[in-house]
Amino acid sequence: MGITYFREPQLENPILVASWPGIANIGLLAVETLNDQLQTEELGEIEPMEFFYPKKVVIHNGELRDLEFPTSRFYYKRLKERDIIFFIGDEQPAEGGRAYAEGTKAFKMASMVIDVAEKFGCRRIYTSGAAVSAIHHTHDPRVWAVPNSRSLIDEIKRYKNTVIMSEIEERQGQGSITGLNGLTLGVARQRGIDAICLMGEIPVYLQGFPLPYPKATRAVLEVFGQVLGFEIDLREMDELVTRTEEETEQLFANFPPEVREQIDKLKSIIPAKPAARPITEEDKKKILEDIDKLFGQEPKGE
Amino acid sequence: MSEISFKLHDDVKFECASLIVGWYEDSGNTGYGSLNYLKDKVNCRLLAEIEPAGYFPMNNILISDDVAQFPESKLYYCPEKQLLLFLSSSPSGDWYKFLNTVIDMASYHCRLQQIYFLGGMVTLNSHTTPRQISAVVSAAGVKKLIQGDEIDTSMDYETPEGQRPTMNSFLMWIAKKRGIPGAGFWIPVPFYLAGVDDPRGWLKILEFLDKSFDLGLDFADLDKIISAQEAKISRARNENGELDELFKRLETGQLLTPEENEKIVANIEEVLKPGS
Repeated sequence: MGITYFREPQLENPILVASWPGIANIGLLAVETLNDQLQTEELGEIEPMEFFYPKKVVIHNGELRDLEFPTSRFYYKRLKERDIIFFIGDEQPAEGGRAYAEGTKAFKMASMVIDVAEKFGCRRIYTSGAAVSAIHHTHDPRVWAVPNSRSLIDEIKRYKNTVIMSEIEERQGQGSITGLNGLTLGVARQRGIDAICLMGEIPVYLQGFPLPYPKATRAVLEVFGQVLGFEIDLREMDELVTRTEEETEQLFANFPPEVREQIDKLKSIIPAKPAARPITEEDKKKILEDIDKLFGQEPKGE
Repeated sequence: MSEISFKLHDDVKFECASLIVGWYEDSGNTGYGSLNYLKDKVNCRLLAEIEPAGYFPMNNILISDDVAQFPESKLYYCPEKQLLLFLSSSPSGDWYKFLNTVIDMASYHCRLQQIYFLGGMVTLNSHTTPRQISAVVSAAGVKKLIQGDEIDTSMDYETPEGQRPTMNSFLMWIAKKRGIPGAGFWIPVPFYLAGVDDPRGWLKILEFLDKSFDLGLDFADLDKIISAQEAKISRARNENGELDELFKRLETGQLLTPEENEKIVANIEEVLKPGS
């Protein structure tokens, strides 16, 4: 078992963009949008049996016809400036009901993605996910960018609406990225390949709901547009943002008044502008503690 | 096989056999209950087992009915009937490797002629409704081996969104890829017996296996277990007019509300719990 290639094109200076499902599928939706808009061709896939439990059985007239597994597929597109490979995972190879991959299987899958990157000569990899953050849903989300090499930081700082960990309040450059969107960065580093994870911010109190958060996906796509040097059509995403904002407001209106009151205090925190912060650090700490108590969650990267 | 990935208890080799597979934690304990009964009846002996580490969480143990449990995956052999029985807990990870090991383990001892898979299928019918077994085969040719009045082999099914295929379907698919014919048998289990034993369902599949493998089983003891269970249900109905009314509606094919179904489940599980 391993990787099946549907074709083996000669690619020019390619980059690889990968994503797996995660919180609100922020990164996955961004990568799927790019993949769709570029009308890519299938390149290959990681054989699923070793990693996944099947997702569907098809029985016809009493005969087992098919067993479908989650897919982990590569696509490619030749572009003027440089070619691009996408990797889209249907699921993370998690066991025991966990949402994120970990352990040997996670390492193996991340390694196989990097194997493909190396085979086609990729010298740059991007992954994408969600950044659970102490922001209010009326704020415009930023994109947290985590490189696997210090030499990439100057490049990241040139991208609009992007912050590195040391620019995020109280983070002091520290944090973690859960699951394969993070692990792939580490495996790339081990092999000497530059990689960056782009994570769109989602309010801490929305991370547990089964809703997309396209505002963050849109922010990630804008960064990808700068990275890749082409214009991304955001019209469909804008429509999705409008629809989801209505759903988010309805959800928010159903929170108990005391919860809404606490959450609304987050409106006063202006991200990435510590000097302009109109509430004290103590206030902020209290707000986050109260929200944590209400939702049993804490801010983190995914 | 390059290396043995299971624990051998007996290195015996024989020509060929059929393998029957059942899982613990099945609706009505159908797979485990019927195979465990069969194992004792046909004098099976332990041949081999799969060690749990790597397939089951080893960070805690479950306690059930006051007793600590531990996952087990054991292969038994009945030499007189050329039958292999595999009884196992459902693994929670590395399924593909585990299921291939099941086939490797059975194939170590003999050539596998066929694999039968047993499982319960929850229905909204009552226990007094006649049961019909449904079968799924790995290839159309297998149908002729199992067809009979009591087996429905015309099922159409696709896993609904949000659900996953059964371990039996996964194992049958692997067996098919390895060229071993297979048939899965689904025994209807009344919803209120899904969490407890359903001996009438066991009897239904055991009668089929008895005939298929010419086992010559005497079910008198199982009949007694069934009668005792049904007597408890009848007593509960006699003592609880509302419950009896719900059962009457169920028996006449009426659809009950989820709350009414839950009421039946709570009452029946209470009267059938161990020691009651």
